Amino acid sequence: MTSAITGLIGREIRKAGRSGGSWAQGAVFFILFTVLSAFALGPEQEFRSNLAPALVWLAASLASQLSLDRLFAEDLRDGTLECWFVDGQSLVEFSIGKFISHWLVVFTPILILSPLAALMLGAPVSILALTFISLAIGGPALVFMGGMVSALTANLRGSGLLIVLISGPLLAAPLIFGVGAVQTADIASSELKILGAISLGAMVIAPVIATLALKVHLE
Amino acid sequence: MFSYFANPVRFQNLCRILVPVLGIGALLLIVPAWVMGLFLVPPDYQQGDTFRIIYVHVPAVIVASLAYAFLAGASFVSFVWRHSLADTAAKAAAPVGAALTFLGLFTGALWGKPMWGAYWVWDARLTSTLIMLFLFLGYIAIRSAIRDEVASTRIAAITAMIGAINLPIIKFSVDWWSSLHQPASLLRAGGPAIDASMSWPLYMSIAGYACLFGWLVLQQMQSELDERRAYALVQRASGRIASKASAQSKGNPDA
Repeated sequence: MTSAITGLIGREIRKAGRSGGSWAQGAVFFILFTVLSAFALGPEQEFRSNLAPALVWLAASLASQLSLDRLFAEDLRDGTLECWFVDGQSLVEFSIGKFISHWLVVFTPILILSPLAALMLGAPVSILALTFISLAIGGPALVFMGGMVSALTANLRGSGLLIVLISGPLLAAPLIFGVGAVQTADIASSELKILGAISLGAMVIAPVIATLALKVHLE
Repeated sequence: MFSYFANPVRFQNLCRILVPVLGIGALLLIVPAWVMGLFLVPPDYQQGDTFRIIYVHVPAVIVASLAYAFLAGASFVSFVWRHSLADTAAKAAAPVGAALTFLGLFTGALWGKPMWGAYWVWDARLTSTLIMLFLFLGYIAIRSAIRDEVASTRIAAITAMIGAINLPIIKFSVDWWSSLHQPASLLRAGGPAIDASMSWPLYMSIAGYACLFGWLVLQQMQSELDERRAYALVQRASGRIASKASAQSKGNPDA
């Protein structure tokens, strides 16, 4: 990783620390979603524990899309992106840095809370570790795909719904394999491997597409 | 040939011939195909009269998929070579494709209820068609959300290309998913081969829908080009009036 990327990530984390806790939005949404879905599903333990992996994955994939509308928009508006570009730095590196910092700031708390959320929904203790591992492997797919879409809409105000409309179809594949991986209850399942492949593919493609979009906004 | 007709003037000359041909073609193909399919063809030995919806349903889905391929291809040309005519084509194709996809899903649901016992089944083909509808809607939404003409063209083109990469992935994942979770009894593989008396109206109606798609897209493109020309003429005329006015005021300092 170049020093530019690490510098950017450091700046993003400092900014998140000073933002008055808005970084925790995703984690709060994640926990609220699981609590409310427990109410919606009713008191029957077995029914809930069967649905726990699906609900945790659903909550995590939606929560990871929160606050994506600001990922590039602020840097585009206040000129940070332009400075970076005029400075001759690579926009691919900029997008990678932004995605990694979104992953660290927004997704890591969700990841840490995920075994707790699964437990609250009544999932058996044996699959808690697998829930965590599958989200750790699938997380980059969720963050990079959503981040790529947020680069497309960077020059729009109030683009939250538009981001979800476009990134929604993209999230289908990680969701299918993520939930499938937990349900197999097997650490070496092929679902988990395919989930890893989707994440790796997203990590390669998303920064390139985000760069194309950012160049359009800078034109 | 494509680069020859990439010139808007030549393209509009071509349109003047193609639009009526496609329009009449659509009419002459769809109307007889539907009359034959809905009234004259013998009922299916298993599905009875219900199968007749095939003449409305199957062509809609096939032409909708072609429309997405067309949208993605035109977007690619527009993004890489910045050709405005390709962008006009993509812009015109998206709503028509969305409408055909919706028609396909709707008629499919009506057909699914008597045949499978459910309006909706999370089968791979149904799911990817639904996702295709969302891709069309996302394209239209992002296109209309971005005010700046150039930016909206290019961002929408990227969106269409992302969707083209995503569709096969979705198809593959849902195949995997439904094979794990769903009994295969709902959809029979293959089924009896369709008789020639039933297949001819189907081919005709597919060709007719394709003509209809071409007719709608070309007409939309024509009016878009006319609108642009009208805008340019107004700009030029107002510029002439403004320069005349400034020349007059210069020649006459008292005014």
